[in-house]
Amino acid sequence: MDLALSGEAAAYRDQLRSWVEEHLPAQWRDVPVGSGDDAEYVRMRREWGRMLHRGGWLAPHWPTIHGGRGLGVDAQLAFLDVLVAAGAPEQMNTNGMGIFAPALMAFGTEAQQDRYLGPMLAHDDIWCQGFSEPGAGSDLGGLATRAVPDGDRFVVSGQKVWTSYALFAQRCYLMVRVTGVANGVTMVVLHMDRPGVTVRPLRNITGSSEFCEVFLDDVTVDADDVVGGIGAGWRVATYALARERSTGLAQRALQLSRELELMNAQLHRDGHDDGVLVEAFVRSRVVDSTVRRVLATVADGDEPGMLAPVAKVLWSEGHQAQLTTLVEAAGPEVTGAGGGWSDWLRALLFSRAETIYGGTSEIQRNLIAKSLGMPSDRG
Amino acid sequence: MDYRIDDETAALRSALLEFLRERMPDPGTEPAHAVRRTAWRELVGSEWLEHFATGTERNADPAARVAALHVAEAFGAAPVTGPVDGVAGYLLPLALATGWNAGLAGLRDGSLVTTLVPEIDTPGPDAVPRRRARRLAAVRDGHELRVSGVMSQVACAAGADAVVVAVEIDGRPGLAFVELGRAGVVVGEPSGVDLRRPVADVTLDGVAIDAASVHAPRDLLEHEDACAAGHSLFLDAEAVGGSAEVIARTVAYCTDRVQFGRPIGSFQAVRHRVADVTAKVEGARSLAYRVAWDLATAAPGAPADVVASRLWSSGAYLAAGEAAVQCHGGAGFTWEQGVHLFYRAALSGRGGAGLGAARIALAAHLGALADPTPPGPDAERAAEPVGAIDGAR
Ligand SMILES: Cc1cc2nc3c(=O)[nH]c(=O)nc-3n(C[C@H](O)[C@H](O)[C@H](O)COP(=O)(O)OP(=O)(O)OC[C@H]3O[C@@H](n4cnc5c(N)ncnc54)[C@H](O)[C@@H]3O)c2cc1C
Repeated sequence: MDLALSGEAAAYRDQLRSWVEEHLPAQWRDVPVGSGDDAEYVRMRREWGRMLHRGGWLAPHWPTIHGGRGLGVDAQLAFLDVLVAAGAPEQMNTNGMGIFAPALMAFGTEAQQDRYLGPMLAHDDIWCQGFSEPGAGSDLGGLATRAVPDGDRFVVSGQKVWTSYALFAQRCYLMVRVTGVANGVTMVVLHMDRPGVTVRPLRNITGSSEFCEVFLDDVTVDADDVVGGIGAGWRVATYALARERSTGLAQRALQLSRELELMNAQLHRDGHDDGVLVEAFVRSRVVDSTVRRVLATVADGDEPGMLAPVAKVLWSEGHQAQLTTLVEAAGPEVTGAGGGWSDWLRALLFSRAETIYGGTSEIQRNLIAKSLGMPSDRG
Repeated sequence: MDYRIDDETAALRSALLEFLRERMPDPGTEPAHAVRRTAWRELVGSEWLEHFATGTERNADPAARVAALHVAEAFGAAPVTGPVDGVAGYLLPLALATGWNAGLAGLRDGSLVTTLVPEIDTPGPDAVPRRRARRLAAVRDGHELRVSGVMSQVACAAGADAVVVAVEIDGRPGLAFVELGRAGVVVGEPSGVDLRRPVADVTLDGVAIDAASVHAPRDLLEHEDACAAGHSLFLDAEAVGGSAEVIARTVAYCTDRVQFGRPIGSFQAVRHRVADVTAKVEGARSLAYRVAWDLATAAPGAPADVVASRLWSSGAYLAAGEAAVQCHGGAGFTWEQGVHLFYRAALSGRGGAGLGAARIALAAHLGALADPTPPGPDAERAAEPVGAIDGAR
C-alpha cells in the first residue's frame, strides 16, 4: 500500500525503517500468530513493544503529552507500513493502544490519562479487552456483569469470555452494568491483580491459548476508574471500536498483501503454477483499494459509514479465501504441514477468527443492509 | 491518493444521469431503428460522450481521471442503446491522443461509429499485460487500399454508419474509417444477450479505401494499448453504475413488497444477499478508482491492476444482477420489470472480460513478482510493446 505521506511522516518512516533494520532480531521476523509457546510469544511482543517505546517510535500520532510525537494519522500508517514490510511482530499492546487509548483520550479524565497511557506505551502494563460474555457476544446488550456501587468503589461480579491475553494482562478495559441506575452500561478499568479475578485460558482452534475466560467475584473497581461517566459505556465503546476500523484494518490489509507476496514466492519456488493465486491476487487488490478508500475518508474527517463494514467483510473473507487457496494449490504439502508450510497452516486456522471478532460477518452484513435502507430484520 | 469525489463531479454525474433518463430510450423497450438513431445523434451532440476522454489525456491530473470514471458510472445506471463504451471509452480517447482529426470529425458528426476494442494479448517477456488489436490486411491497389477480413461480434454494427478498422499496411499498423455502405462490406444479423449492444459480424471483402485516409502514427500500438486499458476501466465504471442501480431498485422493491406480513427486505436471507453484492460492488468501485489514479501516475503495477479490476467488477456486476432478479421473485423474471436489462448487460460484460486471457496475463504478472530476475537474452525486447508488427518501429 503506497501511502501519500506528509514530509514529517515520510522522515519518520525513513528513520524508523533504518532503526528496525538494525534492531529487529532475525528470529522475530515473520513469526506467525499463535505459533510456539504462548508465554514466549507474549514475551517477544512485549519486549518488542518496550524496544519500540524506548526508541520513541510508538504511537507517533499521539499528542506529545501522552508520549507520542504529535504527528498525523499518516505517520501511524507509515509505522504500520514499515513494521509489516519488515515482518515485525505487533507490539503487545496493539489492542489497548488502538482501541482503548483513543477513547481514554476523548472521554477519560486527565488523571486517568496520566495514570494509564504512559505505562501502556512503555509496555509496563499489558491491557486486555473485557466486552464479550457467555450471554453477550454479537449482542453486547446482553451484558450481565454487575457493578454494585459501594462508597467510592464498585463491587464487580460476572464472567467475561474470549478475553485475549487476559492471562498476561495487568489491566482490562471492562464493560459492566452499574446497578441501581437506568441504562447503567459503563466502561471501567479493572486491575487484573485484584482479589476475585480468576483467569482461565481456553485452547483455541490453532492449539494455542491466548484467549481466556475471566471470572469476577466481588472484585473492587475504584470509582475514579470509571471512563466517561456512569452510563456512558455505549458511547465510549462505540467510539473506541470506530477508531479500530481505520488503522486496525489498514494494518491487516497490509499484512494480507504482504502474505500474498510471500505465498506467491513460495509457490513459485516450489514449481507450482503461477495461476493458482490469480483470484487471491485480484481480491487482495480489491481489499487494499477499499481499505485505502476508508482511510482517505477518515483522513478527510468524514465517517466511513457503510464502507467500514464493507471493508471488514472484504478483508476478513478475502484473507480466509487467500489462505485456503494454499491448501487447494499445494494440497498435502500444506495440510501435512511439512516443509515451510506449517506457519501458513496456522495462519489459515487463525483466520477463521477474523470473520468472528470485531463483529461477525453476519453482523457486518446487517450493518450494510441497514445503511442501504433495507427494512429492519427485527420485524 | 485521493478517492474523494468532489461536489462538482457528483453534480456532473447527476446531470448526465438525468439527461440519459430523460432523453435516451430504454433499451428494454426495444426502440425502433429511427428512434435509436435520433437518440444517438442527440447523445453525440450533447458532448457527454467526450467527458471520459478528458480524464484520459496524457498529463491529466490523476484526480481528473478518477472523476471521469465516476461520471461514467451514469452510463451503467441508465443504459443506452448504442456503442457508448466503444466510442466514449476507446475511440474518442484514441483519436484525441493520436491527433486523428478525420476520425474525430467522423465520431462527432452524429454518425453511429463502432469498432472492435483490442483484447488482452499473450504476455511477453516482461509479463506486463498489454492489449493488441487484431488487424485486417490492407493491400495496395494503385492509390487505393483493399481491405479484407472478418471482424466478429462488433457492437451495434447492424445499423451503424461506419466502423473503425485496425489495419496493417506494408507491415505497419494503421486505423481506417470505413463506411459500412461501401461495396464489399457485409454486416450480419444482430444477436446477443445485451439489449444495449447487439453484436454483428462485419465482413470486408476487398473494400476499397483511400490510402491517404489511413491514420498511422508511429506510436499507434502504444496508444491503442493505453486506450484499451482505459476502455476496460470504462466498462468497470459501467458495471459499478449498473450494479448500484439494480441494488437500489432491489432495496426499493424489497421494502414495498410484503409477504408473511412483513416487507421481504426484512428477511435476513434477503438483506444479506443484497449486503453481499454491495460489498463486492463497493470493492469494485474502490479498485477501479485506484487503478484510474495509478494509470494516470504510471504506477508500475497499474497494467496488471486494470486486468484485476475487470475480472472483479465484471463478477460483481453479475452477482448484483443475479441477486436483483432473485430478490424480485417472479417479477424479476419478467421483461416488463426491467432488471433483466442489467443482468443481460452484466452477462455480456462477464463474457467480454476475456477471463481466460486475463487469468493468463495475471499469472504471468505473479510469476514476474515471484521471480523478478531480468529476462535473459530477450531482455532487449522487453521494452518494446509485445506483438509489435515487424518494421513498425
Ligand atoms: C480470536 C478472538 C479474539 C477475541 N478477543 C476478544 C477480546 O479480547 N475481548 C472481547 O471482549 N471479545 C473478544 N472476542 C469475542 C468476539 O467479539 C465475539 O466472539 C463476537 O462478538 C461474536 O460473539 P459470539 O462469539 O458470542 O458469537 P454469537 O454472537 O453467539 O454468534 C454466533 C453466530 O451467530 C451469528 N449471529 C449472531 N447474531 C446474529 C444476528 N443478529 N444476525 C445474524 N447472525 C447472527 C453470528 O454471526 C455467528 O455466526 C474475540 C473473539 C475471537 C474469535
